[in-house]
Amino acid sequence: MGADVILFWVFAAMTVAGGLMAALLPRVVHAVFSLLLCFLGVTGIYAVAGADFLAVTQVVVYVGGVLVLFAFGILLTGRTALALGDKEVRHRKTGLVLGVLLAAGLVTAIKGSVFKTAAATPVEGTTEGLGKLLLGDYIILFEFASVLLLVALVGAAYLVRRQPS
Amino acid sequence: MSIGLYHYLLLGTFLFATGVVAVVTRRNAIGVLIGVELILNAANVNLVGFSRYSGGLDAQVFALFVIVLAAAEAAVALAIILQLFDKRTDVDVDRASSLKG
Repeated sequence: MGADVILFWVFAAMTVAGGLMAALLPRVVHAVFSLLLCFLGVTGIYAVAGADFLAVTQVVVYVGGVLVLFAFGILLTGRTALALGDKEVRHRKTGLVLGVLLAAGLVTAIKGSVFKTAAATPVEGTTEGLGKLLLGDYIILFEFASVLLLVALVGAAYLVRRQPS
Repeated sequence: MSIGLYHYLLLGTFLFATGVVAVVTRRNAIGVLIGVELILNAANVNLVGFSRYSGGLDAQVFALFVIVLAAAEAAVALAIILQLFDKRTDVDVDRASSLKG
């Protein structure tokens, strides 16, 4: 058993544990910190799979950006957690049954389908290839993504402005 | 035992299911957002798995766009949640039903 197999299982365990806790822990603060564990596990999975640029992006955008946003959101809406108390989660049994059924259905579908796979490519840097693809074949999408980000962030700033009363 | 495409897909399936459970069961709007992020990460794990076992980088470009979308979505959703909090002094998605007939 090679090191990469062991690493895959370690990071998969981190992801699974973090994901489970993020979905099931009653308090939303605990869920955000579990999400941190889950994201770091996913980062490790990317690294094991040889997607080095994506792994770095995952840390910078998710851990450095999205999770901090969530933490600020919880800070600014703190009274909700107090008001909801232990009733932050509802329909837990129905939700769990739905999740298990969904996972079972998807696993059956995956097991039943044949994917055309090539042998795993040897791990090498992906940054150069990604840059060439982004500014070559996918240049239009790249430009659209930047416009989308601009619109979304200006829209967010507009939404949170203080309303003149 | 070696790692194959199926392992990545199973991990993605698991993350997707946990995300759906979080979206369905949480009452705090930020908890619902956490579920959405889990679902987007599930998609990314699948894409990286396909990229690894198909020999091309195109799937990773898609994963990058998913990350961009997730960042934009989180910013806009947080803005909406803060406005909701301003109007109602809580972000309980069960009680945010002003448009209900």
